[in-house]
Amino acid sequence: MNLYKSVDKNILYIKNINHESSDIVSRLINNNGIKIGYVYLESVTSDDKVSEFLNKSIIGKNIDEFINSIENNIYNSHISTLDTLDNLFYYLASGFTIIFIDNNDKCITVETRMSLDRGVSEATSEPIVRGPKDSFTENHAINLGLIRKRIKDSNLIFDEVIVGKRTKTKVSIAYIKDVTKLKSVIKVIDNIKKIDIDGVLDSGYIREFLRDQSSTVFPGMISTERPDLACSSLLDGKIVIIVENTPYVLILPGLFVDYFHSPEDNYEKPMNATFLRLLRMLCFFITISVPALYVALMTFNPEIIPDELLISLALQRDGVPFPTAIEVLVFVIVFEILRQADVHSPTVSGSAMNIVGALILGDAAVNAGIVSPIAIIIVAITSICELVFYDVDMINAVRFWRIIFIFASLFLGIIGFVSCMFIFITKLSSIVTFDIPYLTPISPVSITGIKNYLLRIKRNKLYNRPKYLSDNTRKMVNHEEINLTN
Amino acid sequence: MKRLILLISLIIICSGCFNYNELNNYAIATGMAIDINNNDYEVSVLISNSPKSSNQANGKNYTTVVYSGKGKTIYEAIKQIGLISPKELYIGHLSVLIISEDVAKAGINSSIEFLLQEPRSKKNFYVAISKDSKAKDVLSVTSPLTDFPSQNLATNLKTTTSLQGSVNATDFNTTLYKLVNIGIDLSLNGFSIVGDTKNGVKNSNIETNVPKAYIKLSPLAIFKDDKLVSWTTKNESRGINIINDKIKEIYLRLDCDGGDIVVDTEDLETKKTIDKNGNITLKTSGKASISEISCDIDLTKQSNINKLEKKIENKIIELENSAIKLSKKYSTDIFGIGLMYYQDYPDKYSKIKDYDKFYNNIKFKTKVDIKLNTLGSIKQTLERIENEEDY
Repeated sequence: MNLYKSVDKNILYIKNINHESSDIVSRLINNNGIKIGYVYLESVTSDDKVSEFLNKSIIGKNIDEFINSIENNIYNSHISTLDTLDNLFYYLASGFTIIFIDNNDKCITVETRMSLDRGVSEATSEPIVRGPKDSFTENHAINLGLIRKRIKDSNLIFDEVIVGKRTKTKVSIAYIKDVTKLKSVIKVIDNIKKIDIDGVLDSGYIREFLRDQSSTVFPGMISTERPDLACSSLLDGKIVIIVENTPYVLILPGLFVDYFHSPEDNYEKPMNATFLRLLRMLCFFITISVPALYVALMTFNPEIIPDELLISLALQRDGVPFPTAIEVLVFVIVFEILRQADVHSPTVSGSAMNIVGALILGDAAVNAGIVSPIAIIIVAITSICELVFYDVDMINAVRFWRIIFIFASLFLGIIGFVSCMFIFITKLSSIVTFDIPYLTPISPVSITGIKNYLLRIKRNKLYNRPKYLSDNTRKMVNHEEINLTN
Repeated sequence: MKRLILLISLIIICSGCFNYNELNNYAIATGMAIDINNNDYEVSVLISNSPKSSNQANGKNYTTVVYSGKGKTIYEAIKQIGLISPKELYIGHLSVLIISEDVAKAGINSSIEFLLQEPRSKKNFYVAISKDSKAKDVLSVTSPLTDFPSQNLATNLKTTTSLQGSVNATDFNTTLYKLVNIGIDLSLNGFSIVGDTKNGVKNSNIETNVPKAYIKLSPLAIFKDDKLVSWTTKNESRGINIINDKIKEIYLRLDCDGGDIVVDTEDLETKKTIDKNGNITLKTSGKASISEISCDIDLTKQSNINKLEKKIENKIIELENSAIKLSKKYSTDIFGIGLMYYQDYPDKYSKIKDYDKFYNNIKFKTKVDIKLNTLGSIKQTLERIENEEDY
């Protein structure tokens, strides 16, 4: 729809489509007989900027000159002209001021956005001891900037797609052109373009549309608020999706081994990082299997337990009225409830929570003979190992499988546990994320993948990127020359 | 997904928790004793998980209880225990089986048959014979150093095997192997009670500094087929263990002018070879070190060391010969000579008609080679060092 010739009509149109919302501000200026009008939404626009840029630029100018080269006379770097009414409101809502001039078929949009974001702050959900401390924010431009600041390569591309019929959210797909597999980038962009949804408020919305398989609980994308992690993933040949208004970006593909990493691994000594990665693997198996093993051994296969431990366990269990499985299940669930309560409770009431959780549920329950101390130990070990992972989606997946394992052990003992383990491993290996098998580089085996992601070899020994992530596998292009000069 | 749900529900419905039992519903037996009493077996089990008080937070509060049952067969006797015990008897964690001397003399086959049949019993518990006392009492005497009596017996067997030389911890599997195989006979350790049995079974026994009664390991008992024929002396036991290559360390006391020398052997190894007539060559080799000297001997001289080595070798030959003599006396093949002969010369073995006679005619050749490689921490005896300083 084309613009009206009349300034009044245009302003009226805007007011009408938004039913005269209270935050629409408009002003008409009569400058030597030529009507100039501008409109902005005061909720997202900085009044100061409007006064600074607009009023100064318009008022008191030689009008003839002004109309001829109107764009050149406004002191603002972000300026464009429009000739239709369709997109006007999107600009207004983004914090632009729109200038109409009578008898002119174009209008001018000037950026006068008010800063509605908090600044770059420390990463709260993925704290590390050593390494960069900044995190993504809700501001799209700042988020892109945090990446651009780290990778100053001209091959770093941001492709922008606008998603959401009503929210019109910017979604940027970042990749390094000569590193990432372009085929998968195109696929991802196509998939994002196909998304037909009312609104996108967080990167979590996008994620659901990108999964090929929805029937698995394991996450296929890493979500992080750390720009350094996003950048190291980009350098590895992964794709980063940045969504407007959320500090959480998506890194894809997220393979099984990636969840055993911490951004800190990159800044630690290789040996320590390798040890920590293997430790996290161990924690994964502990947290998924220990309660189930406990149930299986206590109720079906006590012959596996060593003599003295068995007697100690039997004595601890004595007088507990509930079956072992119920005991464990109840306590696993109680812990989850505690965690949920803790996550969403304000810090003021945190200490009260601790007292109730630790003292009443732990100590008093044992003294009352409702649970055995060993059950508390089991649930505690399980929960602590679970907290080693910083990715919430992985924790959720682990939690889901833990319950399945407990049920398998409850009905079939150690046989059930082992069969469940078979199902679990089969399930894991059958997952494919973005055309890459989930268990790569463990299965199918990729030696470079293992060196890069399962372990961490010294950085000056890592010549290649794994093939499954990138066609341009050479990481150190001029390695030989570097060696010679040394 | 539908198939998965079907599978899971099938598992839940059809399994019916086939083997489900809560741990606290078991009476965990860690020790078992078999006595014979007026032609009836008396089986006693040591149940180790009886809570002393309702305060379970203190896991260390073990007390044990011994239940006995009588019956014509072992199984009946154990079923009798079921009448006394409020919990299901669980013998999967048996750590020691004590058989009384009387039972052993009559033959142990019928009494261990049950444990072989029972699917839930593990087969690596130790087997021992009670000497001069009821097996039940051996099982019941409390020990201040371990939490429950059966643990005391098992650890005692395990640790002394490597330290003493006269003891050889034999587990159920080995026992069965020796019973079932032809050409090899059984030798088992014995336990005896020293002190006041009546007070020894009380809990107060562990509260005093000087226990009223304690369990002592005796030398081996040797068997002919499944019947106990004789107890051995300490030296004979050591000889048996050397020939069977069961011990690496053994201490030997040797005479020297006006005093004693005690040496410890290391890495003692015995190889048996058999020729076609059944004659045996024993080759023992090893190292030795001096532990204690109370006589006047100059250890810096090579000739003295050579003499000492010779003495050690003779001592070991003496031990071996005493064991051979004993085994020939009862014609019991505790060294497994028959099995060796059968494995090396199966044709000749099948032609033997009177095995006992054959066994008694076997000639044993013993060769010992000991190297005295360490001389203890000091090279001279304390006496000599003092004298040297006087000069």
